[in-house]
Amino acid sequence: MDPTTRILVVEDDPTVRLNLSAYLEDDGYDVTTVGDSGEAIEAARTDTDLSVAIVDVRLPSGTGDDLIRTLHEIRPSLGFLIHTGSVRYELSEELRSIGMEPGDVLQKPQVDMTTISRAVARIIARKARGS
Amino acid sequence: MQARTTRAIGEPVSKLNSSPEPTPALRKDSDAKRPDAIRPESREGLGRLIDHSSDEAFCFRFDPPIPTDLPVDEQIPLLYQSVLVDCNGAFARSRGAGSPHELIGKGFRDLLLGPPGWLDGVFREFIKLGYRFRGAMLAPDPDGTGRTIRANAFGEVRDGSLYQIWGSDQDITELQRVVEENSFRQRFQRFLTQLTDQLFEMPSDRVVEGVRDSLERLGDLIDVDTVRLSSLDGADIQAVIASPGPTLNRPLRRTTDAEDPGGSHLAVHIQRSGNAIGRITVSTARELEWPDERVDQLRLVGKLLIAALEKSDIERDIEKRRVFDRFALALSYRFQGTELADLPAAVMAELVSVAEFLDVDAIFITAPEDSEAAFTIPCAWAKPDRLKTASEWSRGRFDASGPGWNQLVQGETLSRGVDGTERGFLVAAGARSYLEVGLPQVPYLCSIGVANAELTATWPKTTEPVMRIIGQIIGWTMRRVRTEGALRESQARFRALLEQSGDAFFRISPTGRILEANVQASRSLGYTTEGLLSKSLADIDTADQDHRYRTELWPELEKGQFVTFEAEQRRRDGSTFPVEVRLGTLDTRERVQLLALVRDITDRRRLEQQIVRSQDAFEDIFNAMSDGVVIHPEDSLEILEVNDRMCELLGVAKEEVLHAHPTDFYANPTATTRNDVDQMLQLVHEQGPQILHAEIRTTRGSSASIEVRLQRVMLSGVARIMAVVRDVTEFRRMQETLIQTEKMMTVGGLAAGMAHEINNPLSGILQGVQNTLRRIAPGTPANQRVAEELGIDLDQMNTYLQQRGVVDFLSGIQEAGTRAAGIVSNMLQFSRPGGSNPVPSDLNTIVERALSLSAAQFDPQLKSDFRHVQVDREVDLTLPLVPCISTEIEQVMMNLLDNAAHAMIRQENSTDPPRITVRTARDGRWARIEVEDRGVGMDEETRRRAFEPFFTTKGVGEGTGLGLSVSYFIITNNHGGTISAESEIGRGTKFIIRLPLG
Repeated sequence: MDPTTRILVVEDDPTVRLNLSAYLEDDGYDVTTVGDSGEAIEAARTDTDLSVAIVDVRLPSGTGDDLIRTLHEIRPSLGFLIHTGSVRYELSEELRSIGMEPGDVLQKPQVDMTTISRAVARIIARKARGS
Repeated sequence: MQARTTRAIGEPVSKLNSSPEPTPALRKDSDAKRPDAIRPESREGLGRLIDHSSDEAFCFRFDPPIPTDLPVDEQIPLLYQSVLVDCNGAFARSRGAGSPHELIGKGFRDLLLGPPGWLDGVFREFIKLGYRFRGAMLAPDPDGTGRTIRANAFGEVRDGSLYQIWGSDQDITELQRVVEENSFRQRFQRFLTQLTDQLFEMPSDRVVEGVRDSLERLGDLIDVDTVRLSSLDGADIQAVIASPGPTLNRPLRRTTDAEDPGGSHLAVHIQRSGNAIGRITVSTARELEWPDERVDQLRLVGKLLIAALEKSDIERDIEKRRVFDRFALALSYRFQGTELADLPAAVMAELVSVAEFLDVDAIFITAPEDSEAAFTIPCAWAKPDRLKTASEWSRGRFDASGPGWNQLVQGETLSRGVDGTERGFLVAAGARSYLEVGLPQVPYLCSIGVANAELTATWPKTTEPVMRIIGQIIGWTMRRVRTEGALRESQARFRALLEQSGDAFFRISPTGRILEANVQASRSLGYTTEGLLSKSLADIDTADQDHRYRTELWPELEKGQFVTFEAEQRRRDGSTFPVEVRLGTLDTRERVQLLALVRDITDRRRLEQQIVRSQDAFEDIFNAMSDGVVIHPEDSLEILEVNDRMCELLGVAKEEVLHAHPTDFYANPTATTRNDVDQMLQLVHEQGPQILHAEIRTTRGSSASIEVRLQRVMLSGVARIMAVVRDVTEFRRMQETLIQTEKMMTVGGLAAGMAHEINNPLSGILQGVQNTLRRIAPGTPANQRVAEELGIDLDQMNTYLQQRGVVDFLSGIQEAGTRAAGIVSNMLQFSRPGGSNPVPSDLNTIVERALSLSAAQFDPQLKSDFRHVQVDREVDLTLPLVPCISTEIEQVMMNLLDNAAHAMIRQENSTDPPRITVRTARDGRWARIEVEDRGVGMDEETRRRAFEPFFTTKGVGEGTGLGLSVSYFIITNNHGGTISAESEIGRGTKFIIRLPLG
């Protein structure tokens, strides 16, 4: 695993945020965590090495969908995972058009977090193939 | 018109006696076999008798005698050329003479009463019978009126020539009239009996034909040319009688002038309870006097025929309503579960069937240009062979403005001919008239219209309300499909269902404020929908029901029952009308509300009053009523009389019902049932009409819910108790479904919302545990590195954590969290949109798979495992494929099987082996699955709440209380089906699933 792979976690719930970053760090990733969209955009602008962003759908400052669109504009190479508590979330056409797939939506709670690890690895591999 | 004479004057009417033997009194002396026996005194006595008889006796002589071998036609004129040789006093008097002597020697022609030649027919008969005649004939009178004469004549033949005629005439006009009237009365009676027998058993679509036929037979019977019956309801039936009947209305003045239209008419008004209901008119071209009794006879027949027409109208209405109810229900089911993408095709398909149902040439929907409807559905359909399909028809959008638009926006109805200035697409298509209904209360449509290729002056009465409802169903379906959220979906369906019911619907707050009302409610009360919502119960109810709610109704309502009572409502204009109110509670867990379905019973009242007031119409209406009617004596509930409908409800013959007690037919009578019902009688006497509810057995072994209205009535001056019985099974089911749906959607929505909120903290818990376990594990480089930095031995720490049970605690947290996640995921199914699409599947295979999966699952908490349960299968192998999501149906089946096993394990003292019966069958347009156990059963309270989330009778840890609610949502929400339970304490439970066949 490439130890320099950098992941951005956008999550407003501090416990979930902490747990995600701890788990991914243990997987060997370099994790940045932020609590809302503004911080996420800021992070994407400054951190040029980000590979994957894990985004919550309900955020204090807008929806995850909007955020992903913005982040994609700033950094088209960025891959995305959606981590949501709503079972009714469906991937919009727009997000599909930037290459997201239904498997990139993860339901909370993940009883087995290896699913998240596998999803991150899959996105990184997909991005590597694409570029 | 040529005057029709029924029988030529001078024709023999009938042979009163077929014997051609001459009477002994006129027998010639020479013929007597025993001349010795006749003594001169007796001969003289007979002569005196003849002299003083009221019969006319005569003897004419021919000079010269007529040779009997002449051809008949030559003899006839000669028969008029005779001379009177003797007659009696009656004969003389009838010719205006004082004594016979004044007439002796006069010629036959001078003494003939009537025009020359009128006896030709009789003479012909006379010659044919060997110069004998005995029979009746119609004879003219000097004043021109007709008489019936019984004539007796005997010709004396000497040497092959007719020498003289002896004869007697008797005027039997009066006698004949009496005989004829009597025989007429008998025939009339037979006619009436046939009429009542045939007419009231006739299918409603053939009654008009039957009435016309009856009118023809009536006309035939009373010998008229035409009979016409018109009722105030608009029926107008005329019968022209082809064949002449027996002579009854004897002509009084003969009309010789064929040009004189003349004729006689008799019009009789038909009344019932003092109100005119119609008229019956008979006409004949002859001039005659009508016998007095004819008026009564016509009135009686007219009344019966109108009753028969009314009965058929009522039946037809009911039938039409039934057909439509089924149609509307099917329509809403068809739309249920339709996805947005499929909606245009579904609406299009249904528009075709709606047009067929309404029998119109075209149907269209208009929507304002800015509404989504204009872009999402095809808006019209026209019969290809009737109308041209203009391009606008399929383009999906019309110019919605134009003349009449404002009216439509107000919800009014336009019915007019196409005049070229509006609805361009109709002009283009070649339609001549259209009917369009505005639907402002429907969110996505503005109007629905139908059109015909021909000019339609009057649209059927039913067309408009049907379109209104169809439009509402389509409109609300669109809204349902467009609107996210199961709760709002259910409300649309709920409304659509209510709109169909035809009853006014109110949702009322505990303080009496009207929270919601359907269109029927605002229409019947004369308010706009908004106007009605600002009102309270006191504004529309004439009596203050407050006291009644608290004392009488509330205890029943609290038990979850619905109550029915009669009340009076006040319209906006102050007028009032009687209503029947069905009241139930809607417990949404947030607050208790009242649900009221209100039916206008003005018509029923009128019918009931007619029954009470008018004895003679009683029979007709009694059996014509669509409700069952039972007559009891005043002081007991012995059944004295029932109508046909009641026998039909019970499914038994009338004889089995008479003298029985109503509770003999109850489905589940208890020891006190009979007593309880008898006590109602006391209440009827003390407080007036009473309403009670009961379950009765029906023929097919199932039961029906009935509502009985007991009231005291006077029938023919005798006090009786009348029970009007209505089958409310369907209503009860509908109410139960409505309340259930509403409740489930509310609770389901709450649960789903809650579940979402729980997912975040649950994530924290589950992920935290996983991180903790990973970070205490030895062997991970990061863990090892940090431990080394701190000088801790990881292996040692793990030993400690295990010895102190910390690892077990963590596993406990993980297990509990996982279970909570499972519950939440179940709860989320309540609001889950249909994930996968239904695929035509074999239900029997699904059932079989669920059975084997259940059998394989060993539940250590069960004292006996599922493998010991006997499973009986009664499956319908011819069941067609059912569109469904097989994994979901499998889940429901396993759930039901699990519940059934549990219910039987708890039936501890049962000697029966545990047994589950699984059935599949086709049920009309549904596929039915039943799971029946012989377990402990459920009480009514449990049965009603069985599908509520978190409601469970299992012990803590045994069940989450979500199994049935998830099943409920799977069946109703995801499949558009129904699931219900029937149960009896100690006997077992049966769950019934119905899935639409597509």
